[in-house]
Amino acid sequence: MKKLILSLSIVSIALFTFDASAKEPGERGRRGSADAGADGARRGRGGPGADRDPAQLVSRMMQEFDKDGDQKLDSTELTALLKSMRDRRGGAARSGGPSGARPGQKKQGAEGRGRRSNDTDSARAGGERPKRPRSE
Amino acid sequence: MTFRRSTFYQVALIFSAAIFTVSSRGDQLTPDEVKFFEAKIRPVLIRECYGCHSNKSGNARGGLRLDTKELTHIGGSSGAAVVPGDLEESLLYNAIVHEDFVMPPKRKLSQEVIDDFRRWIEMGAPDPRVTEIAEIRSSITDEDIGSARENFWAYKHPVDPQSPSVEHSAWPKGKIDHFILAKLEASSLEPAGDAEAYKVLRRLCFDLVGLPPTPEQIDYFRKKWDEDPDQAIALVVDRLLEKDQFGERWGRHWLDVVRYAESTGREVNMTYPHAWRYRDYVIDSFNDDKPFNEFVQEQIAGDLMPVESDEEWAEHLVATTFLAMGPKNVNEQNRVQFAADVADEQIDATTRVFLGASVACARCHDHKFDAIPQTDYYALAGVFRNMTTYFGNPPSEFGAFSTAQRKRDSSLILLPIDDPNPFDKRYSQTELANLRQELIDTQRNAAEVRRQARESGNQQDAIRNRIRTANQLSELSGKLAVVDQNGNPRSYCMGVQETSAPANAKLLVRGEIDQAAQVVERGFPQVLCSTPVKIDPDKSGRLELARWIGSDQNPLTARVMANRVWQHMIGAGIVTSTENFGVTGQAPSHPQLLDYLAVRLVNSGWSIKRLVREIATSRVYRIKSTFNERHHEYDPDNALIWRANPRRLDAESIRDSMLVISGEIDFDRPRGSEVAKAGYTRVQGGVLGNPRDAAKKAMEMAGEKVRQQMRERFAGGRGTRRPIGGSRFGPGRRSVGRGQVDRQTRSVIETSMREVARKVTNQLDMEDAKFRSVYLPIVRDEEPRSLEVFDFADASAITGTRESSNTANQALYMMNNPFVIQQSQAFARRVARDSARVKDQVEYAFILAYGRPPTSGERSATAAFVHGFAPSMGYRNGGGEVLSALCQSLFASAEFRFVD
Repeated sequence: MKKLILSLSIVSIALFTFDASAKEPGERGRRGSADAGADGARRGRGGPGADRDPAQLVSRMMQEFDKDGDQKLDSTELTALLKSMRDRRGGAARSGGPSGARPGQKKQGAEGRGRRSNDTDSARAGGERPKRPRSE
Repeated sequence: MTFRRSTFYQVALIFSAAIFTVSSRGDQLTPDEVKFFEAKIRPVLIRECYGCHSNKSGNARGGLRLDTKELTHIGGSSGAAVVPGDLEESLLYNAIVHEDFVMPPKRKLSQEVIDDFRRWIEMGAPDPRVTEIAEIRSSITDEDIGSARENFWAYKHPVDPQSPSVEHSAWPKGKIDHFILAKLEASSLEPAGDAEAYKVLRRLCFDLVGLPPTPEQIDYFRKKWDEDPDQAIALVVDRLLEKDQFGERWGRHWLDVVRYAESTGREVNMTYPHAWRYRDYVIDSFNDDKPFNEFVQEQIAGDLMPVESDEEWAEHLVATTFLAMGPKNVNEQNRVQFAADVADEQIDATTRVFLGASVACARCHDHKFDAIPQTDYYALAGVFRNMTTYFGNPPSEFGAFSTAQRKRDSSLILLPIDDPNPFDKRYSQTELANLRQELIDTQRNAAEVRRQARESGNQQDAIRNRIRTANQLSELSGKLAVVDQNGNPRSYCMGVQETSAPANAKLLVRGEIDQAAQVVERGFPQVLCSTPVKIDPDKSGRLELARWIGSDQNPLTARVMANRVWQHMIGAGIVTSTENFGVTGQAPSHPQLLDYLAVRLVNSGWSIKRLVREIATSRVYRIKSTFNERHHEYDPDNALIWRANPRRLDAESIRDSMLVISGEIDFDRPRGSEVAKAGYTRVQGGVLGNPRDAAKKAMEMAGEKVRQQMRERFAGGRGTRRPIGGSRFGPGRRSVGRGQVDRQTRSVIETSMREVARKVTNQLDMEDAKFRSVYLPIVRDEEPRSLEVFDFADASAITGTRESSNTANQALYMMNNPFVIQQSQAFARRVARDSARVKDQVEYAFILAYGRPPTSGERSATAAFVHGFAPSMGYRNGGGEVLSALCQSLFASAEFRFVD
């Protein structure tokens, strides 16, 4: 049980950090100011309500990555989570590795000058497997 | 336990470290990163670049400015200057290494500086420069929005109105008629009398299934009509609603509205080889009478809707093709601009198709007329930008290859279940191996071309060769990508998929991608939401949008669709601006009737068929189109419907009618489409693929045909005196000399060449096809001639109401087009088979074409035509030619093209 709590705590702290860092520079500030300003508050958009609840995030991430449902992330699940986060932050290159080539992908492209087609960077060879919609 | 705990802490430690690393990639830059930028990057940018590429210098050559982080990422006219983590996509790096661009213009930076930039980009291009963001305030206030919501007719909820009382109480057959008659009586007008039976049947058949009635149906209906017109109509309507042709007719109406097409259009017209799945989905949905609200929701967020089976999931995925098949500028250099344009097109289509609201006007500024502030547009843009749109071709194992003209690529969605009857090309192992080898060889060739380009001075040749090899690579890779390792085709659809981390969109000043202002929280147009819809921050909000649009609480969805159904049945909408229910649109001629129809649609379980049935069985549907001068003076537009609107048949009905009347129609649905056969390729000059290849193919085909004909004709040796056989040149009793043979040879060659060239270059016209028009290939800007000449919907635009013109081109088409001539000949053969007597043939031809026998005047005119025309033919089978000409003249007549 302790392990679960500890695990969840670390995950939640980590995810919170990650989530906060994912925003645009000044975005958080602008959201705050939009909420504080008379005009910014008109729609209620851009207010603090847009910030995510870490508990919700943890729950969502656990739901998404805890494949065996044991309320723990084992090494495979953790790898999947990290990979997902890396992809979300712009691919392998972000962590200083070689620029996001997929295994086997030749970086040959436009007019034969070694440039890839740039909208299919994250596309899989042979097509995209759709994500099964969540049940309600 | 100790071991497990230590493992856990190890994992936790790694995890925390990873998170820290990832978070540091964001906007919380580490001191080292800031130091690196300030020491190694910024000074070089200032020294080498800002002079020509910065706001401060007032210079933005090539549209590129490098003095802010955002502008650096957006780039200039050639694309993004820096794509974090991606050297190949970062044109700044490309330029400083003098690959495709050369910067600085007159010298190369030192290798040390180049290495710094490489390292910086690979690090994720950490950039501490902060741009001041302006906040754009709307001139549309909350009060304006509230006032519009409460006072403007379209934004109020439709309520079931009381049936108005009328003086002439025997006339109405139902509630619809009460609304019509009440308005007429209020204006002291009276409705026209009932039309003749055959006219009503013709109307019903064209309106419900888009085809003319057969002579047998006409006889049967007339008998029933004499007994009880109401029952006769109800019977026919029920039968027609059950036919598969209903979905083909009404599905096509829907395809007009959703700008269905099988190519991107614009400058570089790339095909959508899998769009046909959406076409079939629409037709099946109308045939199954799928509840309209579900139909709407599936198209907006089918990928997110819960499903019970893979079949249902596949169907929902195909439905989202709606969002992916809009026109696209695939040669757009700037990916940020492209993404903004795609989302804009999706917003425009969604709001106009389902809501009759032009929200996309607010992309650049507050809506000038409707209470839609610019922030509402970007609130909706947030919903649409959190998805990936799939419209192109997947990458192969060798990667994806763009070409000189096609810069913006996209993959496709694999269907969760394989198509049991795959349409696409299958390759043998040998073919597959050859394709792979060809691709590898072309890659080598491309590398060689690049090397030569660097070394040789002939840049024009180099560019030409590079373009050629890039096209070859793209084509080969595209072929390999869509088959599995055994060469079997995979099953794909176009569509959308949600991205993993939803984010809000930034408002763009004047819609310019480099003029970002405040972030706007995701949401829906406020003026349409009496209660704000809440969007889960972890979701894009697209599913909520779909549910909100498809909800009976939405004031517009049911009204907009009920109005379209009315328009297709009666000839004009209650709101004539069918896709604009806003302030600049037309006010409804019968607002209560519109509300009644909308409520009926919702209460019937959103059943389109029930709504069609109710309108078809109304009294107003069957009135005559007789002109009345007094009524016309009062109501020249017939807005009050004092008579039926005579209507010209639409393009599909004209073509399909000719096929039905000639007896040549094939009612089976063809598999896929001509575009699917061609695969992912560019359309140029009406040809799928390379026009040069098409020309080559045409030459080969023509050559083969000529050779064959020559063999047949001159089997005994060239120029020998022998009879010429074949029906085309008579029964073969004359002998010919060398000169005549040469002339005939020339003629054969010319005819063959022309015929083959026409078939190849008019590939998309499909003049020999016998299936229904809805299955013809719809390529943007290259619509089939048979449709285009009769005001087919512009496939690049949302078209709720087609034009209905009467032009000289149409007359020339009916006189000269090979399809019309073929069909006239088939029509004549059918008539000739029925009877040998000319009088009976004429009678039958009229019944087939017009649904009625000829009048005495028409009989004598026909007799005069036959007597006058037959001698001029000069052929032994002149009878057939005359009958064929008569049939063609019936096709070309106004009565054939109009439904009265």
